[in-house]
Amino acid sequence: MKDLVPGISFVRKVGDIREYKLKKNGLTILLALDASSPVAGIMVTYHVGSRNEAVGYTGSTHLLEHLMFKGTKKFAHTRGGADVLEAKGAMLNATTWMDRTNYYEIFPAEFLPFAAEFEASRMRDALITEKDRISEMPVVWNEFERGENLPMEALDKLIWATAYQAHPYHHSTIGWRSDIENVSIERLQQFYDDFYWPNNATVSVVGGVGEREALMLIKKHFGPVPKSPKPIPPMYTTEPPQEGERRVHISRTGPHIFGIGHKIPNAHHPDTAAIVMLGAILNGHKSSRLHRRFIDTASATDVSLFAFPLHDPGLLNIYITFAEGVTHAHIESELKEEYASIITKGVTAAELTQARKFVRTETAEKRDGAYALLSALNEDIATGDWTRFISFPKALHAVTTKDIQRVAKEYLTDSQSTVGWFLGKNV
Amino acid sequence: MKNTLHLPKVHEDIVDGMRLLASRTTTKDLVYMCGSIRGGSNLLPKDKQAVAWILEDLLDAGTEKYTKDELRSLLSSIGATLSFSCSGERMHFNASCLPEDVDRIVLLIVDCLKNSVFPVNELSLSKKRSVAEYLERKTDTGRMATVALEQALYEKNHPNRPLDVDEAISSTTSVTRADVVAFHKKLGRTGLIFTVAGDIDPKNILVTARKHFSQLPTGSVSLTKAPNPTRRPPQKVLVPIKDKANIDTFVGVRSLIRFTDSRFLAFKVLLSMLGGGGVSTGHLMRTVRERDGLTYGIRAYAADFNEGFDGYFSIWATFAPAVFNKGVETIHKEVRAFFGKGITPALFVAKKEELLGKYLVGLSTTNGLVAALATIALEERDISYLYEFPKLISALTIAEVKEARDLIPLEELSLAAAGTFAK
Repeated sequence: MKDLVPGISFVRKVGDIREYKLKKNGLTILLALDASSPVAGIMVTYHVGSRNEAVGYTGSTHLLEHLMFKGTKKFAHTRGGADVLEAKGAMLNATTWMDRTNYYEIFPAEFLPFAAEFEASRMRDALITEKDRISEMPVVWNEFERGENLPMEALDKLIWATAYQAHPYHHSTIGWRSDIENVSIERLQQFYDDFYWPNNATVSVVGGVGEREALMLIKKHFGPVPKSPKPIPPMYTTEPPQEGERRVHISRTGPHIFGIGHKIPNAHHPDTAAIVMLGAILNGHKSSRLHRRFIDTASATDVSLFAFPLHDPGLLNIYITFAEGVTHAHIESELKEEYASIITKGVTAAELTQARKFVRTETAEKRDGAYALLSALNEDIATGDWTRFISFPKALHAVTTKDIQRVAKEYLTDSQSTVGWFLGKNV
Repeated sequence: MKNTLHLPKVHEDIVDGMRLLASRTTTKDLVYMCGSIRGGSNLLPKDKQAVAWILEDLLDAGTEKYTKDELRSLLSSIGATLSFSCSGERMHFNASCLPEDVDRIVLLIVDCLKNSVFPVNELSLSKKRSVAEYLERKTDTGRMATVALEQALYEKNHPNRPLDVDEAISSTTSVTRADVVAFHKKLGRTGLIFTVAGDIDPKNILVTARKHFSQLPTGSVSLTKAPNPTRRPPQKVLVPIKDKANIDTFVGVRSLIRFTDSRFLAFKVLLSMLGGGGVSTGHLMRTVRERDGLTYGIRAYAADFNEGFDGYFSIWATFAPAVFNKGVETIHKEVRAFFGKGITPALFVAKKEELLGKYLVGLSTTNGLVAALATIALEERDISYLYEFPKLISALTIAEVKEARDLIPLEELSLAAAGTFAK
């Protein structure tokens, strides 16, 4: 088949998303276009996150993300072009997480050419200087400090750090404070030179632009960027098996919080869909089991559950914030009673139907505008297979009540858990 | 900029004291609704304000037709969400659902608003939950600093003056079922606002919404009389909270205007130039963060304008304890500098273009659209405002924006902050 734009090969179409490859440098391109929209968006996802860091330079991915707004060779005085786009009304930012870093802009569609040029310039020509590292470090510190003010975030960091001993999911994306302070500009430059290449990135374009126009722009601006001169450094550390329950405490001013993290498999494991549905049945709406058990009875003021499908095996985390007069042990006992109920009796068909309905609405929400679409797509790109964006909702719908009972039995175990108690102190 | 006229079509029905707005978007399978009826905490004496908050919490805790569990199962079985919240003047509702369930959700909203039964045991649980949440706030730097600022700005009996944590707990524990029932009897459809956007047929929805909401009683809520706006002397309030790595900091002053004031738009543009947008387009982000590295984030905003009273101007920033004093000094210095020479023709023109682009981007989502419609309705503007806004921005002059500086007397700025302060 003849290429729509020479030099860019069509790879596949899954759902309404089309994948292409820039032949010269291996850049992956995803298009989800809607010509009727007056708005468009572009995002570059780099396959580098805090899982690619080690002791001494934790938080580097994130610090580097901040420095990527300090200008490029082509756009030296306009924060690499961000100033220009922001002045046109663009919603723009970057985020860093465990498996990826993404840079995005949402704008009136006519500004796509500039945004594409800006992102291509940032890919290899960012100005990464010691002067900017020095000035940006306290800004990142303050971001770290904001997180430390939040008791649940502090407990979450501790649970991950305890659940993971070898794998870099051990440390949070923001990193340890001393690493943020001391990492050298040379290390950050090396990080940039290791990972910021077209063959380690995906460019996604969504919204009101034509297919050929989008591909032409990508070819024009990203085409000249060379592929990496050496292989992208692999992250080969695997977490050794956990041999028993782990427990940690924090004593600090704040409310009382009970937290627990259960080891779960990676995003591509066949059990992941059932685990996500288990999470939806446990928590997420007012009929869910934990809401009824804890909020409806006024035992707790908040229940949060996170089961993010990640590139590597991760955690299903539950945090329960509760009132004076209730104990951590009581909350834990009640939670495990709910686990036992699912493990022994399973969930009802009605619960599964409810969870499926919520999957349908959540799937729709991921399509509500350019930002929602890019943001959701980004997380699937980060797992290493963007087609999950299309296939995973189907996998969720295929989950049965027996699947949920089975994964509850397999993963909600003490031996593979890390329990954290935030022992709140009053003012 | 192109495309500024590519704005959604909105259908409107104004009938029987109700205002209903609906618009179709291209997102499949998604419908967002939001709305409100008159009746919030301002209608009650200060020490009884919790009656409105408890009522809001109990609206979906059982009706004459459904128990709490039945209501929730009904919502869950169709993947829908429905929540209520309470402001000073209004009781608000927000819902999301699949397109085929809009009618059913509107009926449920009506049922909750009209037929809630306020079970005694649920009242007791609601009070217990609320007290626990208030106690948690005592260690929340953001919330404590916000309350401190608003208490500094508003005199004791002003509707916008919030209760402190102890006052809120006291008010909550005193609520009786009779209080809730009596307050509920006043609520009704007069002044109702309903906005819906998404994968819908707007005309049909307006017909059914009109029919269903007409079942609500008329209601007997009269708007709170707005006191004459005055400023209190500037105050400095520091709320110490142990073990905090970060200090939430607010600097603000009352504007003395309402959103109906002809200067309101210029005032908002002024705030956007000073401390709106991201790192590039707000003066405070460019200086306090980018130049000085004192904070991760700082912004200027307008608050408390929704209820028809005069709202206030504020700057919010976060600082580490070691740089708190320097941070506050820098805020004052930079506001003075910006007011002095910062409002340049070039920046003003750029800001207008930015706001027009943002407007288009914001209205391109179902969520953004329904929120914009709700704001138009709450501010009692004609729906043409949705289309007129770009023209109003374009017509705004730099002289009008400079004049809006008078609404922010720098010598009267109050400071409120919460966290662990360096000795």
